[in-house]
Amino acid sequence: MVVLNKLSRTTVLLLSLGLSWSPAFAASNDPAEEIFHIVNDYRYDPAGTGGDPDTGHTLCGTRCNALSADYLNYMEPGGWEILKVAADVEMTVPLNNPFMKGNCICIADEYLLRIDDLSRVHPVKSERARERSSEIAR
Amino acid sequence: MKFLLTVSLLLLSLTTALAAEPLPSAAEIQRLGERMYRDGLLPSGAVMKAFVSDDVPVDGTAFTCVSCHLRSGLGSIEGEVVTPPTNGRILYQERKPYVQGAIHVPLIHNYAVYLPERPAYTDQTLAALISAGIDPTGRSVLKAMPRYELDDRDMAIMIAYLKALSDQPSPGVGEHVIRFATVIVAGTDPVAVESMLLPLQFSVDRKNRLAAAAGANPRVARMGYNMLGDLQSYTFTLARWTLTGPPEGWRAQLDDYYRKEPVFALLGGISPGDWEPVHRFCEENRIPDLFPVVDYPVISDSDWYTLYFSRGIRQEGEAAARYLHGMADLIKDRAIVQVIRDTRRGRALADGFRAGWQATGHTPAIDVLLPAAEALTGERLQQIVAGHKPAVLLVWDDAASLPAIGALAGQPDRPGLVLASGNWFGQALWTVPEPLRELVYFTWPWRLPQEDARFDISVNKIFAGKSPAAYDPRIVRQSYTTGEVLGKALMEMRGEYHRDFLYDTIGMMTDMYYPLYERVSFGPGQRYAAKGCFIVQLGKGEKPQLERRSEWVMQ
Repeated sequence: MVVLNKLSRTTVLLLSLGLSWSPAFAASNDPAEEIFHIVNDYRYDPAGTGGDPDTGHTLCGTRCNALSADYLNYMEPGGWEILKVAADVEMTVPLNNPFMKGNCICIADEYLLRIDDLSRVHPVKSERARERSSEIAR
Repeated sequence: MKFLLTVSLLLLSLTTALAAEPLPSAAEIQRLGERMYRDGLLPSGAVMKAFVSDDVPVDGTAFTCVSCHLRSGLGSIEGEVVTPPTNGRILYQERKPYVQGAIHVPLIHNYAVYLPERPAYTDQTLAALISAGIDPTGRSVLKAMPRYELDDRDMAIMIAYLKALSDQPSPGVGEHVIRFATVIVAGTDPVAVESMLLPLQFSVDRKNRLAAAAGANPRVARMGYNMLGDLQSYTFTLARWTLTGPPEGWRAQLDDYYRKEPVFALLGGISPGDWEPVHRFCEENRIPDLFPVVDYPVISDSDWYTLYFSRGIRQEGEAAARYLHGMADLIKDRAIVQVIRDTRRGRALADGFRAGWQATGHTPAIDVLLPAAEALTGERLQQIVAGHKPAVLLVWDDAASLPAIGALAGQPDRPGLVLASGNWFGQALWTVPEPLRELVYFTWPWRLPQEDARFDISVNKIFAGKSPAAYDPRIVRQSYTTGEVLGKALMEMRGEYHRDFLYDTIGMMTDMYYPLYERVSFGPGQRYAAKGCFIVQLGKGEKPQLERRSEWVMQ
């Protein structure tokens, strides 16, 4: 029974973590959260415009890399936590070039960035701390 | 047995030879020795002969001492690659695995841990090392270390040079004090000056408070020692050297200040225009200057003693050239026109673009110079566009040019894109009307504002109750970086307070992430820390953000 209880609590915990890590949740409007991407690859899609594939590929390199973050820019200031929420997401963006049309498909890992305010009392942690204190007291 | 005999014979011959040859004056030894050490050239001017991997002959100019042991000769530890110090003071001491009093100072202790024990060098054993790669224990050192073919006199000069190398602390370093100064050119905006000074003084005061606390409390002293080594007991001073009058008269003032109070290094410094005389003063006196706040740094591939944040205003023009290079095949034979305001800033942007564009082999852009006092009207700009039909229009002017650019928006023969300096537009950049935002691109030599806000938590500590609104936020962030880089470098210098070692140490630092610039990176001999610049556009909506259209550093 104790084992089952533990399992069910673990399941609930994993489910809740799974939900909180999903891209849908990550895209919430919480001002303390941001999404950023680290681009791994890219390709050019002429989208019927007849754009030159080689030139398009080069330009998509610049376009997609411009969307990519240097994660150390997030880590170094401190006070933030980073959660990887999706891998190899394909983002289609317009090439955005005045001389050539088409789209870029940027393939990126997606991260959720949120404030990790160390001075804030985290409710879950507090609850766990209380439980732990009770266990020790018993 | 044969090996030992060879070494003995070599030492015997060197002993005789080194003792016999008269040496030039100390100043001449310094000059000739430095040329051998840094340039791989013999006193005769000939190239030093060297051998690697036992017997592979190589050009001594390509395998110089300085390329591994660095200018200070104090060596380096990068990852697992350890280059031992090569200055006389350390070579002529025994190396032991245990360094008394330095167990908790990793950068001292690491040398002892990584490198084998050896007795102190003598002139003879050092000559054997340089010429045959054999250390005083008879071991052969790494094959990567070249063996140099020097005659007896040249060997004696080299050894005398190494004995003097980083032998005494640099000027400005006292028994328990390191003196710094900052240079302020009179006439600079007082807000800018205070914004430069505040973070520097904060760094100095913070260090001095630690030294005072360590002096009063043994526990703090121990903690400080574990963190900083002997640096914890040093105090810093920061003098303010104000330069007045025209730049031609600055050198005499600098010499006077320096004569009265020699300093280890200059920190920051600020000028609304010229910096060249300060740069030259530092070069000639071999005084480091860390990060002066200037828009027009001296651009040089070989000067050593001033470390700038970037290549200044012209870096934006260079970035524009790199960005357009990526789409050069699409521009083909169509013209690129630079409309250049005839001011120092306008010319610097245009020069940067010109140099970058021509370096990649493209047809030069057409330059249209606007007199400093002439307003750029919509009519004038349309005239320029109608005359040249450019694919790209670069407008190196301030935000007063915005209405004229706006007049192009509805024109059928408008250029494909207009590129301007976001830095020069200043706050007016945020007022670009929505219909124009698709056409206009900006150079942006900083991290994007919405992303740089994360660094506020670090920077704001320096205000200590003062209102941030009273300061220039960019200069505060620049000067904050100066304090941080200095602190990190001094911590890693492990008590060896030599000017060349300051830059050797900074050159070995990994890329750093400080406020304002997306990334600052160093490397041996690199003197412009922020090497990038974004190309951005203003996003849509009433409260638009800047959106990147390029990476930070474009190839």
